[in-house]
Amino acid sequence: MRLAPPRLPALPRAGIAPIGRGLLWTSGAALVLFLILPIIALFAEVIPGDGAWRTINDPVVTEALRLSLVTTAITVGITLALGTPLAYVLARRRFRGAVLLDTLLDLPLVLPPAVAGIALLFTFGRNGLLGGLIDDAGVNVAFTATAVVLAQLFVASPFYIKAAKAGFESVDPEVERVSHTLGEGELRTFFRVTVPLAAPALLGGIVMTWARALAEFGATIMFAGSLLGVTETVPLAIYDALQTDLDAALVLSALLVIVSFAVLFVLKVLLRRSPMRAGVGLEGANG
Amino acid sequence: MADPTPPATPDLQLHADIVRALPGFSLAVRFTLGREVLVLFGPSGAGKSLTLQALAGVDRSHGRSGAGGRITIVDGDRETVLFDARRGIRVKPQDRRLGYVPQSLGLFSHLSVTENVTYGLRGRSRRERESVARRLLSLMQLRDLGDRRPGQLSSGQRQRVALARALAVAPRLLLLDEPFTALDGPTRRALGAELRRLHEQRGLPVVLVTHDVDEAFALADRIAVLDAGRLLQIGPREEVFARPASRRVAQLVGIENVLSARVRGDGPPGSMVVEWGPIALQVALPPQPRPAPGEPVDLAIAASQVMVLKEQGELAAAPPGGEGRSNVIPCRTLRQEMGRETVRLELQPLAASTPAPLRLELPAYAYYRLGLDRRRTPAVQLKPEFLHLMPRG
Repeated sequence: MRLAPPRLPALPRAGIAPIGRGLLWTSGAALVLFLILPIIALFAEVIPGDGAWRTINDPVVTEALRLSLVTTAITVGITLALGTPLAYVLARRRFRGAVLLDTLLDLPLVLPPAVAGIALLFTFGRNGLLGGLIDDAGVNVAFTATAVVLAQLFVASPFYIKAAKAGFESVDPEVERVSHTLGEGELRTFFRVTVPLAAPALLGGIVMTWARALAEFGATIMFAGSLLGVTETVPLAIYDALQTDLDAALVLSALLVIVSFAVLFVLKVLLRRSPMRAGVGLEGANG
Repeated sequence: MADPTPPATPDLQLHADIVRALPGFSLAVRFTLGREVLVLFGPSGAGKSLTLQALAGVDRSHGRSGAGGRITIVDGDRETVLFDARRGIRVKPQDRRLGYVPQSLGLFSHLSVTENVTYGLRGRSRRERESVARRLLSLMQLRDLGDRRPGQLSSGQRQRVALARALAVAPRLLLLDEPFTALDGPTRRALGAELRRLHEQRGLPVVLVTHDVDEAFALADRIAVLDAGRLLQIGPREEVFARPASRRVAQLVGIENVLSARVRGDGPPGSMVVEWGPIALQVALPPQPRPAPGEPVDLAIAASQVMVLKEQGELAAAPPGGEGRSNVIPCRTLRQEMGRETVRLELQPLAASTPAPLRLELPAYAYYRLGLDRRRTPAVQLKPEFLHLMPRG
């Protein structure tokens, strides 16, 4: 006679109790829904209206896209060139006033963009702090593409500086010392060791800065105005078109969403695959 | 095939005089290194790592006002100045050609093992880099691991990669900071033996930092004892362990019996007599200058060199003070601690008002053969040749 295998009582599943788990999921789902619903609504409006996509060739759209791409590229370039050495110094050197400087660099991240716009006007505007200097040089900054870049630089570059600083701090100085003893000077050590090791953080910082620059609205409209083809970037064009050409506004919005999503998604996949994940990724940009 | 470590002339010497004034810590050490393994030994905070970093030229205060002294390498009849505070010479670490392996190893985690090893060979031909990598990987038993990343290796393998990487640039000497601390016992001993072999094959001078007494003794030709930024003693390892220069050195190298005594006067030829409390002890004559009668001194004797005498009869047959029977002290067992292979005892001399108990350690078999499990009042002998006399600092 065969014995039936003894019945074991079901083991309680480890972790959170079922009720708690359900609550966890529903509360999370509610927020997720809230966050993606507007995106869905936007595309629901754009996709069936095939008429909307015709505006993609309108000067309002193309000029805004061109201007946004060019100005954000310049902003990212300047941020990289000036922000990288700064971040490295902040990460490696101990000096008096470091905390003060660090706080000042955080300020643009928390200031309302409108405040940034006014501050920039009173710095570079005709009656601003440097206005006379700039006037003498025969250039006008306010209400030009230069102003667009300056506005973006002001609000967006701190993202990179913070991320890069965290990235450089995560690189053990001992690794750089060893590189020195192996015959490599400061600069080569920086590019052969420090930058690759901090790469995930640097990449995250670049993307955050670029995304913030692309989204920049408040400071730009106050400091640079909204002139088609000169200072009217995509967010400004969307705002303008909302009253005149709804289709153009929708298309630009959709494009902005697509591009932003694609960049963030690719970055996340890249960082996930990266063999040198330093534990500092996108998160570092806000840290 | 180019050998990354060409046989150097036998009289390579490093002269180091290192002075650092940091907030809250100052370092002043001076030593000479030949073709040997010099161990910098001392407790943490002694300045060992800083000394090593100063040699490599990578310490933080390097090139600042707090740095003084002079470091030179004499190779045959050529002298290379690496550092001279007075003349303002500060050769950069990248131009010193010294192999430096920090305690954290400093491996490049974004590069493969092979890329780590050949990191310092930029500018050499690809063939040369490959041949150096092949030779060093096989020397360090890393042959099949060339494509791995440091994160995929065991700690022993990581240690080997760091060593191979330092050797690849044909350094004039090797600077190792606590190289084996992170390893388990067997790996530590195996790598230690490998390092000795490497050193003996190539005659490469090595400066090795450790806080581990056993490691210091196992690896060193000479030992430099550092404490609180000062060099307390430097010498052949046997000498440092057998004849520590001071009470502090004796404590640091693990000599457990340091007795406070006072000089009485001359003893039998070649010896002198000191008083340890009420007990008179014969001590071999120390080298000049000899302490004068009445002067306080310290006596050091290792726990393993305190001899327990056999049963009573022997003691009666040769009374204390007789020829070959000097320094016999009847004691009472205070405490015993059974180890796996040895037994540690704490014995209190029976004489009235003796300052401190004696600690000794003996093999388990000797413990039973001497009947120490039964006897409560064994007698010990502190042989004059094992008693090391130190001036009171």
